[in-house]
Amino acid sequence: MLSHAEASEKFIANQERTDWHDDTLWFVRAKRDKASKLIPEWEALREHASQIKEHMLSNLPQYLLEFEVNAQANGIQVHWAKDAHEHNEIVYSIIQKHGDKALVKSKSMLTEECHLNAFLEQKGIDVVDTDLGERIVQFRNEVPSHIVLPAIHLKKEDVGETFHQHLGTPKGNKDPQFLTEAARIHLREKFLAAKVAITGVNFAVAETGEFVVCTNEGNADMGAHLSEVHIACMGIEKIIPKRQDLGVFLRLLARSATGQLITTYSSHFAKPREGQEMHIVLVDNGRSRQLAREEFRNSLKCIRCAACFNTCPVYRRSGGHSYHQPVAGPIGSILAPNFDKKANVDLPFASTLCGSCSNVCPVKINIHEQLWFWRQDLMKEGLAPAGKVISMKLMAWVLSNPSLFKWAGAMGRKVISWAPWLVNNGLNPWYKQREMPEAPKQSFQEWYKSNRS
Amino acid sequence: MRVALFVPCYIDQFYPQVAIASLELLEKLGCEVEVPGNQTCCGQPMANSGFAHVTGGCDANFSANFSGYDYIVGPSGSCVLHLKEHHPDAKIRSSVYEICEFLVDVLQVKTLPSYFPHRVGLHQSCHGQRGLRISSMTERNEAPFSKLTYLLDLVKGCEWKYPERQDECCGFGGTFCVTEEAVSVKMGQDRIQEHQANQVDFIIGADTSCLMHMEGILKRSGSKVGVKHIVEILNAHA
Amino acid sequence: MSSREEILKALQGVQMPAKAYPGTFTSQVHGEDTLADFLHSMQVVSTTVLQVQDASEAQPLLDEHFPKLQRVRLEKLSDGLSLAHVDVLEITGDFGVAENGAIWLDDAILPHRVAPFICQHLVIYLSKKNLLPTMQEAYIRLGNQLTGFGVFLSGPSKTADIEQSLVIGAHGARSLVVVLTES
Repeated sequence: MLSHAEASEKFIANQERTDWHDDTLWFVRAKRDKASKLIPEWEALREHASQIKEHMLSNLPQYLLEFEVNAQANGIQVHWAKDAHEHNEIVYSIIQKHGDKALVKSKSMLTEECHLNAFLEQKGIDVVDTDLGERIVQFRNEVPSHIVLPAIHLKKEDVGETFHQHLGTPKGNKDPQFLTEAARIHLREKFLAAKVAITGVNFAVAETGEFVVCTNEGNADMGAHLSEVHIACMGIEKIIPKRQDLGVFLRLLARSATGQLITTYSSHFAKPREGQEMHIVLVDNGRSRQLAREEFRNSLKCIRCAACFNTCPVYRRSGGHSYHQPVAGPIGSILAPNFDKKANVDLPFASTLCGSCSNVCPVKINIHEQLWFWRQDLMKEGLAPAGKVISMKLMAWVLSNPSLFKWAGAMGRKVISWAPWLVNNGLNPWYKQREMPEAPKQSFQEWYKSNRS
Repeated sequence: MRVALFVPCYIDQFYPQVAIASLELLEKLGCEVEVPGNQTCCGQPMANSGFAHVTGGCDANFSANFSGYDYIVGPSGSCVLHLKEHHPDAKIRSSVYEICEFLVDVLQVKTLPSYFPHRVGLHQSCHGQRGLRISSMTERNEAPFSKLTYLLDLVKGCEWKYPERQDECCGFGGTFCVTEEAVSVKMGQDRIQEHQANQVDFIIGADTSCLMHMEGILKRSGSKVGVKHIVEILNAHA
Repeated sequence: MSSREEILKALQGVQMPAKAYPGTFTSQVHGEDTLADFLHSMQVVSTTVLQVQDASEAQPLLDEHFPKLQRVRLEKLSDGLSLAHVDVLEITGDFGVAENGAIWLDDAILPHRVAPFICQHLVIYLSKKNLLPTMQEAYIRLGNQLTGFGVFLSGPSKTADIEQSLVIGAHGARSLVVVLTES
């Protein structure tokens, strides 16, 4: 697996594609700015949303129990999964009971996190992702590169070719309207035939036992309302206390995500349709562990709007796949080390700590500060390369000793002016595409000594 | 008013003109400025690399040099933010200022005798902007303000321009600039391109580290655009 | 120990400061003209609005709008699949929200849950009296009444998953007409 830096270098090698990716996502960020600025109470809404989520986190077990009671009273079957594997087994056992070999699934980052598709496919189940972007990446055997815009790393030519191969559209046709129509016809067949539908969950309301799913395409509803069995999968942090809280979150979600006023469909599922079975799987999978980490617990406030992706100058220029995680971008970089510190040690460093993410976040997660805290945590655990530890300790030692610092500084400047080849070479990543600063004859302290004292 | 000038290590070594301009500017505005002679580094390079646990020596040295002053003023938003957020001594945390915020908030400068007949592109360094709140940010729904443009407007002859993306990061990011070299340089190139589209003579800002990074890219491309710290402009005269 | 107990035990074991519930959000700023805001939102979400005195006045306008398609209004039905061939479905919306053009539909008024999604085109009748400024008012109006299923629908189905090009008519209705009546 490539590190974020290595994968980014490969991504950037295609300059034109990188510029397109950057500009396109910046445009989404600009739409978000415009939408948020049309709401005078925007910052108050963010604060309110943040407080609801913090309150929820500090009372999570009570709200989960309240949700369970109310959902069951509504006729929903509630399941609990402590990890990804158990989640997948629960979903599979429900499917098996109905003896079906195919199902439709709308977007759920949780099922990506649990690698549900791969699990079910091994069991011989044909999973059809019905979100257009997800269907595109599924055809290509890829994973989404963005949690809201799964196929944003692809151009229409790529999609045209993929649809030509999988749906038999004419070779060379890359018209988005035409390709979307082709997908509509293809997926309608799947919707009409599927007996089992899986959806994600954007919000689950403790007080009423209902859950809300937001889409623009209508694919979650097409699947759920035509199916005999609806399985909704959610992380336990998706609980909110009251129905009125939806007013706050639905005002923030789409505006933050894409600059839309609201998603086309905000569907509230409270009871199964007559004759239908409705299941909900509540998944921990590391969330209780993250909740216990004081510095990182607030990451669980996330409502998966991806505003932090779109604003991140690093994400826009490195692409989602460079994060080698189902959830990429700044939020992914603070969630990932909770799953596996060693495998994700590069991610908290894939940031300049510019702080833009924390300030677009609709629930005010201090993302860039958590990136900083993860850096400390990971380095203290000894996950740094040996060379880095030595250079950091050496640097700290020099910088703690004023006389040593002055000597080293003078030596450094002399090296740059007398023997520039020592620093101006391919081994110095600074020099690869940048000149070194010119070394002045005197440091400021030397100047001060000779001019002022 | 006893003011200590905090000169970040890389400014001391590579950009002494920025420290000299800071000193002269503060003196011109009536401050009694001292320069503690044994100062080195605020500890930020290690801390941002995940090694805050080895910066004790830097913190102690900073305290030894800077305790007892009314104000500690430095020409680097990033280093100042690090001290404000992470230095163990509360007195240091509350008395350290980035020089532009010091000029505007503490000295309450209303006029400057400065003259700089050039068009400049203003780079808003993230830590000063979003961290210290030297200016408003496009992410938030807030009334626009900027301590930097307030000061630039006092300089005769100086015309300042924002790049198209008013407050996007330049990609320096401390050790990020070498560990994530490809993204870092791409970010810097993109910022520079927008400044060049405005036909500026200089790219300026309140953080020399960002400028050093962009200067390296500018020089490699043979550009005529230079870089200057904002204090060099505020201190410039006819 | 079941997973349920294990998860709850892990969560209960986390020591953290209590954070108070912030209460109802009340800082929403209303536009001066709810109708104008609603019409603007409808435009943003690519929806045609017919402003009429009453439903009968809308009929010739709808004939003109859907010259070749058959429009139907349906009673409750249990078979969602049978709706796959409906060209234009007419339903009555409960209320609309000015800030985002969302219209509330639920089990009480839908012939079938899939109806507004599976039909090719959708017509929603809505009374001007039932326009609310923001989502906050919308949830006050909804209270905690549950019908089983309800949806805020804002405009026709859409996607921009191919190069961010907006395409109207993804899986749900290809177009939406809102008939706004005085009564």
